[in-house]
Amino acid sequence: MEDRVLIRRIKKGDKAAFEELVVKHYENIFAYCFRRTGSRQDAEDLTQEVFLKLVKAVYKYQSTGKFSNFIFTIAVNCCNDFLRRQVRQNEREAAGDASGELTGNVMPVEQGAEEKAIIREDSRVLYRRLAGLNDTQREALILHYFHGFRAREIAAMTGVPLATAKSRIRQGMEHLRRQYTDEGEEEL
Amino acid sequence: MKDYIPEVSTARMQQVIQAGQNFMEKNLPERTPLMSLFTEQMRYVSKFFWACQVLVLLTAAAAVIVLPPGFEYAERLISGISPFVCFLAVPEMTKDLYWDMSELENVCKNSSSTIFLIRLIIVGLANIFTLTGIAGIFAGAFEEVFVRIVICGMVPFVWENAMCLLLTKILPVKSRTGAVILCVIMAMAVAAVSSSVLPLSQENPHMQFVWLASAAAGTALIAAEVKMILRERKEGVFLWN
Repeated sequence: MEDRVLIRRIKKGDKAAFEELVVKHYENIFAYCFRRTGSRQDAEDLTQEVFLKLVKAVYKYQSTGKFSNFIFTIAVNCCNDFLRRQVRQNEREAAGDASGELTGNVMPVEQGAEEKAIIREDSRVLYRRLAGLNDTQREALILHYFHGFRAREIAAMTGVPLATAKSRIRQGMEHLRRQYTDEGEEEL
Repeated sequence: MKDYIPEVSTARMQQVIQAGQNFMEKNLPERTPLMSLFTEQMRYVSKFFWACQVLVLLTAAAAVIVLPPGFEYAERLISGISPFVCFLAVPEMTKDLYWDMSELENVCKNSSSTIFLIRLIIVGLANIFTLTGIAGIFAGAFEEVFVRIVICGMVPFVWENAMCLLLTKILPVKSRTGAVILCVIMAMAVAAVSSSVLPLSQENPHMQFVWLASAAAGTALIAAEVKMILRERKEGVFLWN
């Protein structure tokens, strides 16, 4: 069923429509959150937050564009808030740490032993490279290359001009390429 | 780019669905029935506005008593009266902006644009009802064609509203009293201009064109202004003054 039909039904209080909407978009939103955070637990929590924010905002939602843009805008904001909180927390911890070493990572890679085993090596390398980018470039790259959004849509989601979104994608990609070629690994 | 994404946990997905459905259950969307919205807003329309409608109707009735049957300037007369039917309309529709109530209205259940639209309908219908009443009285008493009388009343009415909306937007009007004074001055100007223009009954095809074109232009201007106001209110941007 089309998203706008589901939204209309949710607005009328149809709970089955909400279930259908979650089933339809859960995987995609979870994947985005995982790519941004690198942690399954955080990604699951953030995905829940995204859908709860969605159901609160849906009554005011007016179908003016693609629904995926709307839900991804919520996801982008949730992830940005989360990462900002994490950076602040890391800074606080670093300030309290005598050695001054950062104890956290802006984009941590999975730490669980079981999950370590199943994470493919190339994904791990890619995530480490992505973690080396600044947050705005990483955000733009994930949305563009993994989720297929155009620069115009990313600009709208992140609230920046089109030129800025384009330059973030370009610079992020150049940065990644440079990292791979510098270390003699195959290009993306 | 391809990467590894862990498998989605069905249990976690069900948890999300449950949480969302619980929220939906507790927050059932409540829509105010249109009728309640009208009756609610009717209470906030100023008594002066209703008094003004009655006063103008009484003035028209008095004119019928004083003036002789078959009075030949009925069209000029209604052109002079009609701006005073609606001079309180614009201050009434925009009073939330002068009384600093817009912020409050913005966080209420009904959007600011909905409230503006409801007020516009109430005030507009009351004005049109009064104007039609006056036109009916004049057409009957002075043996004039009803449609012609209505057009002669409608054109100044439309222009009074259009100009008042425009001026209250452009000029630095900061209070409702200021807006009322501005609209009274505008009503006098519109009445003076419209009653001095040759009326429709003069057998002049150009004058018929002028009246009809003027009605169309005034209506188009009002429609554009209302559309702009509604858009600004929807976006939460008030560029008033």
